[in-house]
Amino acid sequence: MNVLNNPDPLFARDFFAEIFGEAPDLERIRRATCIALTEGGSDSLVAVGCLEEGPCAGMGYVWLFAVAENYRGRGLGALLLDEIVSHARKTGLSVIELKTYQKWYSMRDMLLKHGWVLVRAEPSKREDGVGEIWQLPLLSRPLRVAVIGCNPEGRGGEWAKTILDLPEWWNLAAVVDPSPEVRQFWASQGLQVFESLDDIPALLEIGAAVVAVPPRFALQIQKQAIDRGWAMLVEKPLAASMGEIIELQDMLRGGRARLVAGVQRRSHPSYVALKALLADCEIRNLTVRISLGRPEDSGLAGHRGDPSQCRGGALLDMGYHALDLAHFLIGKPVELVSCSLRNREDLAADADSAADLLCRSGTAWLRILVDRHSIKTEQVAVQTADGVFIADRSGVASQEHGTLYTCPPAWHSAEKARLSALVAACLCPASAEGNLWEHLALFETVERAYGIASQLGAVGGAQS
Amino acid sequence: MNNWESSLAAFRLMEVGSAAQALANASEPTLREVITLRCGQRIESSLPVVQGWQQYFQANYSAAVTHFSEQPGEGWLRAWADLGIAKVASDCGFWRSALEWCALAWQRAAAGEHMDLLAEISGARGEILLRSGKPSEAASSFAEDLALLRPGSRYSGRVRCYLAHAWSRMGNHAGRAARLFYQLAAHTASEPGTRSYSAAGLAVHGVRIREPFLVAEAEESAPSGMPGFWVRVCKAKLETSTLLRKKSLEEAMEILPPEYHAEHWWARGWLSGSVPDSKFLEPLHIHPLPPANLGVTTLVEMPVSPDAISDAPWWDKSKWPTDAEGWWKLRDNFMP
Repeated sequence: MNVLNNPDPLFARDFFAEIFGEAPDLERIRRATCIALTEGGSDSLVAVGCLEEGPCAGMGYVWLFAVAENYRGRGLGALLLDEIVSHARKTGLSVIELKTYQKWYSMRDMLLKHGWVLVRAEPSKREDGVGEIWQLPLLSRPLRVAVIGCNPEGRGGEWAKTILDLPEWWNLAAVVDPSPEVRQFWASQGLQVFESLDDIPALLEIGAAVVAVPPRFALQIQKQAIDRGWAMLVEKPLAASMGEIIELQDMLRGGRARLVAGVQRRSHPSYVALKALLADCEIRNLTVRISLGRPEDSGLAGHRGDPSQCRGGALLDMGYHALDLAHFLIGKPVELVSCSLRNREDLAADADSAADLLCRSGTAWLRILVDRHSIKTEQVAVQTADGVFIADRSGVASQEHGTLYTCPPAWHSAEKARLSALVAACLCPASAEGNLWEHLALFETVERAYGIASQLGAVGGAQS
Repeated sequence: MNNWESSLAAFRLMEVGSAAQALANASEPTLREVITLRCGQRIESSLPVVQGWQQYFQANYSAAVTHFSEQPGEGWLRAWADLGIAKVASDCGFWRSALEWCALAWQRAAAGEHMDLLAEISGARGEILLRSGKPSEAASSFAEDLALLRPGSRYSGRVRCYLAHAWSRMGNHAGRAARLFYQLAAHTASEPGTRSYSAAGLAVHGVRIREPFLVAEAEESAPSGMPGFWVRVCKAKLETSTLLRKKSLEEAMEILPPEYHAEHWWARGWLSGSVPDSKFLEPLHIHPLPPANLGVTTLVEMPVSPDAISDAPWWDKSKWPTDAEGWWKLRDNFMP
């Protein structure tokens, strides 16, 4: 088997046309770097991949990739992928990305084995199944990152642990937390700790930050990070109010800041598969239920239990994910109809420990339920004219047909996928969030729910 | 390309957009959509504006606005992208901004006399105005939309229905026109969904102007599902006999399966007297699409009744706070 760089574009086009049943754009093939495996002469192509420039310098996109049908199952795909990756390294690319589809099972397995990360999924034509976007960072040296708000028991701690698991991409250069106990914990792990952002010396050359602070402080911290020119991964909710989201939107305008939002369920393959299945269905009822994973008798640890830091609770926390997911699945504006927020007396006055929202979109009803069951769980149930679908992070099933989609294991570390997206945002500002419209729509519902609960005296209604 | 040709091109590209939307939604494209895409050479689908609409129909508003903003030029494609941003702003509750984007889209589309696009913009503006509590202005916009539509357009029934909503909400002086247009749409619209919602609209209008025969006329067309529910609720509203009122309400509740618990909760409340007459509903969002109409087992336990019912638009808008100019629920103006 020989490796051939840039085979005749006409041969390459015919090769892909035979496999995909549709000829790709010849000019685009000419512009791309094609790498082929051949057997015999240069016209007998058995596997071809085309690498083209991504949205910015340093980023590449594997546009076409295929192995001839008679040659599959011999490891040629892996060989070709290796060739493409080494070519990308030689040409100085830092991230390469490709899109594959649910139906190409062998491709998914191969990408997993070679360290690629599934970063998001997209609906596609039904016969192709879910479209999956995979990335492979190819850094010559890891990027330096700070985690701001890093309680080992909280989300910041989760991010820090994932970062430490990715030494090829990230160097956890600083941990910032006002709590002496938290700082002591991370210092004992050999990390540099700081009480505030102002204490971080410029010499540390930090390029990115993971922000996992209570919502009340999120905007202020993000402003500081933007001033320093850092790319940011911000844990949801991105801010404490609609007004702050608008302010943040203003800061992002014109590419002045690079932001990756820590709200990823709408990119989750299971839910994208569910959306694809719902495309032809009349949705009647859609219920998203998320449990925080904190037993009733445990109290609220961290900022949720501290009245001086808290604004909102379950709804602004996991409810944010649930609402975003419902909005994504329904694909239309969602209106709040009723809300019920509950609290326990020993918690902060403005923190709800459970939320129950009823919304409607057109003729479909949506139910958002957030509670504190002891195990952290989530589930989506959709009633349609074509039956009932149930989805969670493992896949999608229907009552009538059993399992319809199984999520590839790659996604089971959603943090890893988001951190890969942060790598891309560091190297390619165009791949970061350009605006925050989804969050505006979400915050509108959240704020109205808090407002109604507050006005009508519902138990635990937070002040908006 | 003269105006007529460019107008045709605009129309064709909009068709490409809706075909691309079907693909983006992962539904099986119809033969017509496939042909449309083929005729469109699939090249247009790479345009930012088409990608923007694809994202909009996925409720990916951020990506949609990004694509819409990237559409270059000043022509009708740019106008179509402006309309897309207006729709996003409207979905997020920024109605003033939405209207400003509509105005910009109109200006650009009008410069090239792109009639189909102008009709679409008028309809979008009408919807925004109707949702934001300006029925009179909405009526003007829908009337404009109707005038701009091509003769025989399949959207005319839908637009008539919207126009009738606007007139109906304006009060008695526009009542006759509302009635006429509801009747017209209920009998002539090409879409069954529009027909039944027009019938429901006629019934609600009958209650508004206290004309029981309009409710009876709506009932004759025997709509099912959600419109049928509201027609029977309207009938109950006008009944003077408590017994007959109860019977009508029970009929209404039978039409909708119990999973529509908010409607059931409300109807039960009204029946028992805990919801006062003064809170008689606006019709549910009169939705141009056919209603979801099947009952399936509820998987997740639903509570008996919500703790607090908001004054959401389908409920009682009179409680909504308004600003000095009488706008409902508006955010501060915000341009993306």
